[in-house]
Amino acid sequence: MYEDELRKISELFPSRYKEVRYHSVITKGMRYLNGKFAGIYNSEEEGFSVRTFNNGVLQFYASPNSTEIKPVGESLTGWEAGVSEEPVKSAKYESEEKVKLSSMSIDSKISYLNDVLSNVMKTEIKGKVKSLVFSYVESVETKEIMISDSDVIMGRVPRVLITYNIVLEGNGRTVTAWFEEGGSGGLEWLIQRNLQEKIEENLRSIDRVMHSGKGVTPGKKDVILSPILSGIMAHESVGHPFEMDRILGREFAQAGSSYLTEFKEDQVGSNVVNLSDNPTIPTSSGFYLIDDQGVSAREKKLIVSGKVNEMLQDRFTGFRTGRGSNGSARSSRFDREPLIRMSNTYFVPGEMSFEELVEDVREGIYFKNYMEWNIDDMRLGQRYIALEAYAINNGEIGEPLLFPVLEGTTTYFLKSVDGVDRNLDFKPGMCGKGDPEQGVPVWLGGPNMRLRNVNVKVM
Amino acid sequence: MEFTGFDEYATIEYQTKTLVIKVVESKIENVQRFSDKGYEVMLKKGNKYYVGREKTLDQRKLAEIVNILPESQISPIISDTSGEYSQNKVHPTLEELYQDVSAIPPLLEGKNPIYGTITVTIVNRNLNTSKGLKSAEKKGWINAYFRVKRGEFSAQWAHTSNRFEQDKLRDCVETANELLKLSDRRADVNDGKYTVVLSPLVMANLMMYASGMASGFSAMTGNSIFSDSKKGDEVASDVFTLRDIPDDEQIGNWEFDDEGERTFRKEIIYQGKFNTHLLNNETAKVFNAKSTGNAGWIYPRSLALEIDTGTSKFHDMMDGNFIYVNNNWYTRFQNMAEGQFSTVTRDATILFRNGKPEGFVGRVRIADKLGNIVKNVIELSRESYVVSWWDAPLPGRYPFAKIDNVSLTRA
Repeated sequence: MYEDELRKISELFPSRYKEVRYHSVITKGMRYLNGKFAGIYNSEEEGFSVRTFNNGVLQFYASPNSTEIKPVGESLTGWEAGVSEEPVKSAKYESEEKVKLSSMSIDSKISYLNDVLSNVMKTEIKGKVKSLVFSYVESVETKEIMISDSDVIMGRVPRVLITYNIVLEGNGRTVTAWFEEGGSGGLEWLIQRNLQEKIEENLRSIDRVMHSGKGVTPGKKDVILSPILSGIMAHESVGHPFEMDRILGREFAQAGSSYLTEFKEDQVGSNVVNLSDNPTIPTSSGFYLIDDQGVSAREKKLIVSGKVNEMLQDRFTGFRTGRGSNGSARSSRFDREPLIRMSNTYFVPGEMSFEELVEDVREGIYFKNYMEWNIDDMRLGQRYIALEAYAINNGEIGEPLLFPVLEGTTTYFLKSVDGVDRNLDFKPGMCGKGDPEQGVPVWLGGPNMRLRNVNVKVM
Repeated sequence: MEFTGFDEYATIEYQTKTLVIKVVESKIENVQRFSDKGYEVMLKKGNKYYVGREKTLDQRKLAEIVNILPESQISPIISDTSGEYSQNKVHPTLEELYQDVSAIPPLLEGKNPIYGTITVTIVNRNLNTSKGLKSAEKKGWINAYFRVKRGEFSAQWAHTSNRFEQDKLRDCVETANELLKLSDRRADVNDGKYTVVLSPLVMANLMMYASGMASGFSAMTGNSIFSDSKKGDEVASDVFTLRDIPDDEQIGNWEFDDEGERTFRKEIIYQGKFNTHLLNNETAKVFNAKSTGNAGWIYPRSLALEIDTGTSKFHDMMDGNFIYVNNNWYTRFQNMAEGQFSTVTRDATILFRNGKPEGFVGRVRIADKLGNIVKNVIELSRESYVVSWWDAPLPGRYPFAKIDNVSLTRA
């Protein structure tokens, strides 16, 4: 479609290695406030870019208009070492819309969500919904990429992202909570996912915690993390620090460093800990089959049996480390350079059932959802505060608990894992990195995961 | 462009160009030059409205969308301002640096490796409204931040201005290096309450969230510690004033907000007392007030902030027992209504005893309520700095703040 424009841009830049790209993201969203329609918003982002490598410096140019991209002609030397030479995979990939986004008119979507959300607002709970801000966003991302005059790589990924923020009052407390659903594909993410039931169940669960939750005794306990928590841990505590650009220092002033720069040993977790990043999962938010440097995508096994196995690499870090690229370069829009990014990052499930994880716990806590999470810039010290948590006593899940806190280091937690069940569930997220900031769609996932004898705090 | 068939509209024709220079280990890693142009548009018929970011303006297509929408419970309201206005506030040094970055490598010298980013942004913004306002503004700014490293220790500083001055960037690197010299040892702290001195970088990060909570939309939806705040309510220490400053000369800003209301400076908190939410016309209606010139269609927001300076010299503040926090990141709220948050310190977080640095305490977590932070401010420095950086992108002018009883935790 844009091959001529890409070739014309390429001709202006005589570098041996160059990435030329057309990139568009068309987004349509609608918003509801307390069950009532509150407006729509659309966005069109479309343009061209080129990134070259010369004398250790990457130079990136982008514009909505291909004819406005012209080299400045400056001579610089810089930090980058070279480019790895994996073959360019020129092909087409696409995420399938099982139900086309265009198969339902705007007014039908509005009407559908009116019904869902007006019913949600009738959910019987003890507390009061102070506000429920709901957002439905559908987008189509299209890329055409030419690597050093290769044939054109074409990618098309439609996505749906549903988010809602609940402020709930009751029993002398106010709780604010945030939820996300979605993936790549079409309207099946809206109409086949029991959306109404999910929101109602979340409302009831928070309400139950607010009204029946018991205080937590701090101390060492067994903890079971749900896939929502194992997912955020997979992404933030392992995925990010395994980005090789971060390890090499390229992101030191922005998103920070990695604990792997200081570790002497490869054993970062117990032998039941396995973790992968895999962009080839169909229907995932982080889906792609060829990265933005033309390298074939594949599953990357970052941790195998608790040991560091592989990092996320692009062509530049692949050259510097001598290990080559494993297809991890991605950009968020036309005017952003490709960076090493996660796609769908998850702890690999095991053989146990959830019941087997629980039955072996004498005194513990099941962390089902969280309301706050953050981590230091080496990706070592982290803290989770449960939104929904339950006591586990003598192998049975019991009463809800009020907001237990889990705070510790990545290796402390990963070495405490002694069991993972056979479930695998994902949640969507927007992963931020780079300057200028780039948010790219990802999935975060995992099984239920049991940690033995870890320190639980209170707020 | 005139729109017909709508009750109200606003269009913002924008054209931006950006230069980003990325520095790794005191060398240039990449140079990015990119531009964008298009329209942001708000069209309204009755209480039906459409907001979009468009490459071109296609009236017929947009009218078709608006016609099928239901009435919305809240919709943007255009201010009555009319007339023509234009200004160009782009300092020539910004254009010069955009064309030629050769001034940067000489700044990257020194014993410790330097990492960071220098960004120049130049924006043309033409606002047209259905009430007859035609405003053409051009503005440019530079922001730079540098992180320096020595072994396991690091320090950072930032600079924001409407002009490029080599010396200011050199000072920025030098300030980070000076912080790094404060100690060459490690010190330990446990979970507990501490007196802290927060640097302008930390205040920039925390006040970005405070101003977000002051937004009328956040307050209206309960995602704010200021949801029920009324003018005169005591919400902070009486030495603390937080101001929205769209007219600041060094930061510069737009003369009109997105609804055509003239922007102006105002206190969000004045000497410890709540003064106003940040409002556009539609949230002003909810709060029975007038717009504060902070639109954002639907979402009001600040474009720049300031905390009033205090009376203490920075050096005099560095007395006694406290923890100095150079920088932070990853601020997350577990409860927006109660302001309960935590944020992780990075760079030069240093334990002081009797005014002397004991050592770097590493990465600890401030885990407290935002309300407590502003209520427990006991001292502000005379000196202030205009800063913004990657995890505090909203520019502002901030002093150092000494704060009592701040809860710290350690992973």
